[in-house]
Amino acid sequence: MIRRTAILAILLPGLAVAGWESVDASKRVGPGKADFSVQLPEDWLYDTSRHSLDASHDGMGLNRISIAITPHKKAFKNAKRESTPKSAPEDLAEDYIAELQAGPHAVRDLVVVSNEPVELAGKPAFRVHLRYRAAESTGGAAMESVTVGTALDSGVMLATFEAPSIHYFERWISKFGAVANSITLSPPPK
Amino acid sequence: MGMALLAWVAPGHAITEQEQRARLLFVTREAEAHLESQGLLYGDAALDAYLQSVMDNLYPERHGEYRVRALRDTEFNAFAVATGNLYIFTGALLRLRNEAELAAVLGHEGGHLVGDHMYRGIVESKSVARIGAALTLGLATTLPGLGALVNYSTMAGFSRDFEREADHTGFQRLTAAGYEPKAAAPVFDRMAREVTERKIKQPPYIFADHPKLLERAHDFANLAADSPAGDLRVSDFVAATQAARVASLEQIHERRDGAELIAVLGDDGRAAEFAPSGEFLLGEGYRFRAADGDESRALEHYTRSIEQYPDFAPAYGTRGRLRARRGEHDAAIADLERFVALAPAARETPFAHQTIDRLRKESPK
Repeated sequence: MIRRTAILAILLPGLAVAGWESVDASKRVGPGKADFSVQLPEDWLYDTSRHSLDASHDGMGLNRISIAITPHKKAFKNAKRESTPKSAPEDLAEDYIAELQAGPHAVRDLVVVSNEPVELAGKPAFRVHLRYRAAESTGGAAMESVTVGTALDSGVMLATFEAPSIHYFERWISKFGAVANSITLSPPPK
Repeated sequence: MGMALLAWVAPGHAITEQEQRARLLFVTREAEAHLESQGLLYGDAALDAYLQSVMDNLYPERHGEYRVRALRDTEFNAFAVATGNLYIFTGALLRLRNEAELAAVLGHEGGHLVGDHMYRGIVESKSVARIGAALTLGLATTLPGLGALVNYSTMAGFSRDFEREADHTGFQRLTAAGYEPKAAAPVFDRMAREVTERKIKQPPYIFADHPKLLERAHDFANLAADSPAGDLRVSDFVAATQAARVASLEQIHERRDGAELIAVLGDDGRAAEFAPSGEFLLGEGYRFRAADGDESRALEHYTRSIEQYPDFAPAYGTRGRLRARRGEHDAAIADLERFVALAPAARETPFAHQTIDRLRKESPK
């Protein structure tokens, strides 16, 4: 555990290593102030110290799961779009893709591999699979991601798995399916 | 490569005109090969043949020597390079209305070739370092994919004298070939409007900066005032370029650039030229732009599209989504059901089913 935490510290300069914990398979987790909880894969590390829940197995640049509820006014700020509690999943998917392509860290060469309706925490949601090149400022690597999203009264809930296209995406995407299915709109039990 | 060229231009190393020309051709050919390898050429032999025929009509003494090809890019642009090749963007074809306007653009670019502006630009800037600088700055181009070619072409930016010379040559060729001389001014006028509407900070290179756009439109209007009328050749132009123009529109739609769709299709009657999708795409422009009142404008254009083409599925799908967002449940369900019936295998169809199910659950019984 100490060794994995040290590796993360090397891979992610500036990351508050103290916030990272090892997943306990018997425990659901959620960020401090958010009203959701999730069961993360065993043997991963996670961080609940920010407004999102972040998890990784090998380092955030290699495989990353992020789950957050962002207020409607802020969720798609770079794309200058505003969602509402009644936004349709199809609209949210478009807004989400536009957000990825806007702002200082906009991705490049984005391809929508699939975009389909699903459920997230029992609500109508979208699931979008994307390929793109990360922004030059973050290395410009060929990346792949799957994001599941839905509109809630409090904001937009987005759960994303992102990894480099080479090796890491295929290796870990199945873990994300189980994580997304485990999301519930209630805080973790104390 | 960049280092090698920079070494060529090291201070104290005198080079002959022949050497300079050879270098310019070398780097240009290399950059053109890169452009081809990036898949940026539109690659329609029939379209390229048509463009070539217009160019040969303008410069008959250079028949086949100035070679024109279409580039897959949605911006309003065209450029020539020192090898004698010219490239016109599909986005330029989208915005031009007839063959005479196309001839005005190609005539101008040909004017740069006739005037030897690529080479003279280097010599008159009193520095062959321009080539070296071009290589080092090439990656910073504002046209991704075109790379260093931007710097070896008429896109590199010329003096006002060179632009005036190319305008003059182009206009002479336009009238000599029998095209309508009044065709040139509206091209610059239209581009000036688009630069303003889309708040473009870096206008397309062919048109230089914004005040000059209007000045040049005025110059062309003056030149045309005393010239005999000529041909516009609308139908030939549309027949040869329509597929590329529609492809360019679809590229803008995929990029969800509302302001650009509105700039291209917003003029009266313009959307109708791109049937059956024109009205729908103009509606999409307003939906993407999402300024005050744009949602209502989008609905108007989707409705117009449906009135004109009752079996055009995308307009039902998107109107249904907007109506659902506005709480017009019954109307939204009717639109989405029609969309599903017309396009059962479309990528959006599963979402339409999802929305129909949701609206039915939410609707009062």
